[in-house]
Amino acid sequence: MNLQENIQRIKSMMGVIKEDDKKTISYSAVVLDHESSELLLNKFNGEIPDGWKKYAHHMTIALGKAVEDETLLGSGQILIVTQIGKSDMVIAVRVEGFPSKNKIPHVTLAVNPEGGKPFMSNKIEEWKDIEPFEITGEVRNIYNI
Amino acid sequence: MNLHENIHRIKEMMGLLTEEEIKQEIPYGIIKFSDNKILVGDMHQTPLELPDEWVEKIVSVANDKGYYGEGIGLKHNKAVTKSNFYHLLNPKKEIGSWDEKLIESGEVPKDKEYVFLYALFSNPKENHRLEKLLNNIDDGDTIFSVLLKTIPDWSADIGKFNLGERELTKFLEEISEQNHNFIEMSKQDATEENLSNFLDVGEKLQWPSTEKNPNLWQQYPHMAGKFARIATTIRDQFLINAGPGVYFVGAGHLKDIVEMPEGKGLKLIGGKNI
Repeated sequence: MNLQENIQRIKSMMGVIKEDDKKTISYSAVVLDHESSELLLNKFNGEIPDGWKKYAHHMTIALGKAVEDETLLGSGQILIVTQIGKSDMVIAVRVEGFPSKNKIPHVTLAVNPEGGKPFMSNKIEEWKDIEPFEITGEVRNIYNI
Repeated sequence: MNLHENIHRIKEMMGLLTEEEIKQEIPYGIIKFSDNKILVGDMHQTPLELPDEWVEKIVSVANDKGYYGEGIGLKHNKAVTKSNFYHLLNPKKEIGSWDEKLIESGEVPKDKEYVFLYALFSNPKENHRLEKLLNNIDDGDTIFSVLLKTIPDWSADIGKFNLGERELTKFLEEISEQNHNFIEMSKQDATEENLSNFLDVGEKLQWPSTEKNPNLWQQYPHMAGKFARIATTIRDQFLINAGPGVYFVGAGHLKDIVEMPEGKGLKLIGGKNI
């Protein structure tokens, strides 16, 4: 038994993972670099209600799926921020520049700790235009922890 | 620069170094995920002396995308602060601890947060754990009650997960085994002797002596060790998922990562002394 099999066995044994959630891809994304993340949070700080959990971490390419073109993994990408949208549960910016399976490609900025989840950005109905600007990140597959 | 160094430098420039020479030069390993993300291995505060070619790459990414230390942060890690490249890093680009990023990321599922309590038995002497616990004893305290009120001081989540009585009990139950019942032990009065014994037993089970069998710890013969292994795997996973930047990490993570299915295609460069 190799190291990873041993770890998997240990985790299963201790009930820390279920048999069916092994090594699955959570989502693929353009993961923002720190500077871009900070830029978004600073620029829209005034729009984020106090106490909301901040993210500004990535733009989802596809949920539950790996990047289709593996050669893009690790590649640097530029996204253009074009709009900001908000609901009572979540606040996000709309982005362009890289294909996404989401109807509205976005980066979730923050969620309401009372029930807000990042995926709710997909349900934001009100978007308003902003002066476009660039953010940068890298294409990655994100695995379940 | 002597002749040997000169020859070495020319070979390096020409890309003529052999695999064995690279292993010698980067004894604790490096993983280059992309042009914007590099993991640099270190070991037990041993100052890193990396070849010029890699210093250039690391400094370039670190000063562009930022860089992260492990655990309580870079300033406590002489492997980096006494390295041959630390002076080249832009202090403004030091983002903080990647462990803290993991904790704040929201990526650790709720039911796995208690795993971070493993740190109770990690480096207790170096972290002066006994002394710190003794400083927090009130009249009538048991070991359990002292541990409970000091969780943020010793747990790897540094208090961010708000772990409490339920999680501490679960942890102590799960690391217990035949001859070592940590729940029972934790009911003892919080005297210096009892606390010291409690920490010693935990540490020996979590990190068993490798004197007779150097590979023993990798077999995780005890539940406390298995627990620590799970936490390490969660941290490995986070490093794989993490975004652009330079991450300074204990060298053991690098070996794990290239062996993980999610690390398929990644190459450990060097790493002779891991």
